[in-house]
Amino acid sequence: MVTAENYEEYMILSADGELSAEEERELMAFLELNPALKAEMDTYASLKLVPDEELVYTDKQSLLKPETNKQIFIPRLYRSYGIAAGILLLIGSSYIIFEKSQRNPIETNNVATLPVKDTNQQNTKIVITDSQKTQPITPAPQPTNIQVAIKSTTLASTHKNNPKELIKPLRQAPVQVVPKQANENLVARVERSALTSLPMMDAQQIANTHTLKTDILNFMTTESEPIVAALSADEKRRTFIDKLPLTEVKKEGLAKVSGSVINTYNQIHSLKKEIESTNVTLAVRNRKLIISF
Amino acid sequence: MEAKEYNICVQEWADALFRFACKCTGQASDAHDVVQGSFEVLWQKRKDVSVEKAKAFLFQVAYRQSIDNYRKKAKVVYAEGPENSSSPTNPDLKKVLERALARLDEQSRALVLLKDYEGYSYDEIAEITNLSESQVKVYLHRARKTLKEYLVSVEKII
Repeated sequence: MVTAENYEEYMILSADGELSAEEERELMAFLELNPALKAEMDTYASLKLVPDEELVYTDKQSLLKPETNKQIFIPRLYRSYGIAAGILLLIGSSYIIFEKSQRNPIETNNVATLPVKDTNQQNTKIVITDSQKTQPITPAPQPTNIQVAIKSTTLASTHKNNPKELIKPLRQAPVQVVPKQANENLVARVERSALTSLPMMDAQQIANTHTLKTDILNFMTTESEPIVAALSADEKRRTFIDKLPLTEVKKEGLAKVSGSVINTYNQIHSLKKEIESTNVTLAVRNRKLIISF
Repeated sequence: MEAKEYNICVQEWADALFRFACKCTGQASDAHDVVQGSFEVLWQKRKDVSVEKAKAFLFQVAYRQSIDNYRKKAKVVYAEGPENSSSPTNPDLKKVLERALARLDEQSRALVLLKDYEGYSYDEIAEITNLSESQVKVYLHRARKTLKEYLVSVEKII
């Protein structure tokens, strides 16, 4: 309610436009009752400051910012090409990784190639290549008790009747060493069901080549009896492997394989010794085998 | 807010901000710095400020910078408007009001300017100045009475 004590506040609020319609009516009613105060009301209303429109900020250009709204436009066709290339790259890399995982770790990159020559030739050279390097290994003078036979029976039988047919490159060459007879020398059979980068040779040569006299295992033995001693010479074997032009990983794998071969041979050798010392009866399931020397 | 909207704000509000800063600081050079600083802050905060709130934001920054400027200088020597400035209606009343405005303290002057120049309501002024609405009401009440007393005294002299 507008009174003589608060009318000035109502006048200021009215000049500022902050009164409600009801309060405005109350103020007008009060001024009707007190017309002497109308001049004061006009004074408050005239206190309104008016902005000087001529006073302007003249340096607006310094405030403006460049309106760069560039967008990188990539045609849809190029996007499709990019996606297709990415998928192909993924598939290709997956295939390569899968292929590598399926390979024998020994022959992942390095391939041992045996250039096959005349089987009757004494000094057969073994050439082991790794990538671009070729290192011929000269056989030792007394390797004659060791025979290395390529047991590619399938290939031999297949191509026997067709000597001129060339042998395709093969892969995976597990090495198997078995004693031929008790009193005979060690025969090392090299199965080459598949050997990559194998040089071309005709089937007739392979048919005639059942045994290759070589000293590939010269590091193991030179004669029948010293075989055990030679096989146990781990250092000699290790030295030979270290000379091979292979990576450390492959050398480790080769060392493991050769170690297992030697262990197997030792077991067979010890068994043979036991059999030689006494007659033994072996029972395999319900069949009995009597061995006597 | 993007650069385009920001530039629109420059074109739309730079003059009003400059006039407000001129009356608050009393010096055109200080007002120039206040305007530049206010728009610089707006540009930095443009991602957080909408176009609708840009004007209030600018006056909020300008008010704080003007107050800071006043506190640094302790006492502002208020310069009246340019010599050629005049009101088309009542040039004498305008000059008297300009002188009366110079007699107000920094804060009351800013409140009067926000009310008369920009037409903000009390609650909007409270938001810009970070005061309560009742504080705005009290400050403006005192300011209006001061202006009225000055105007009456001048009229008596005349």
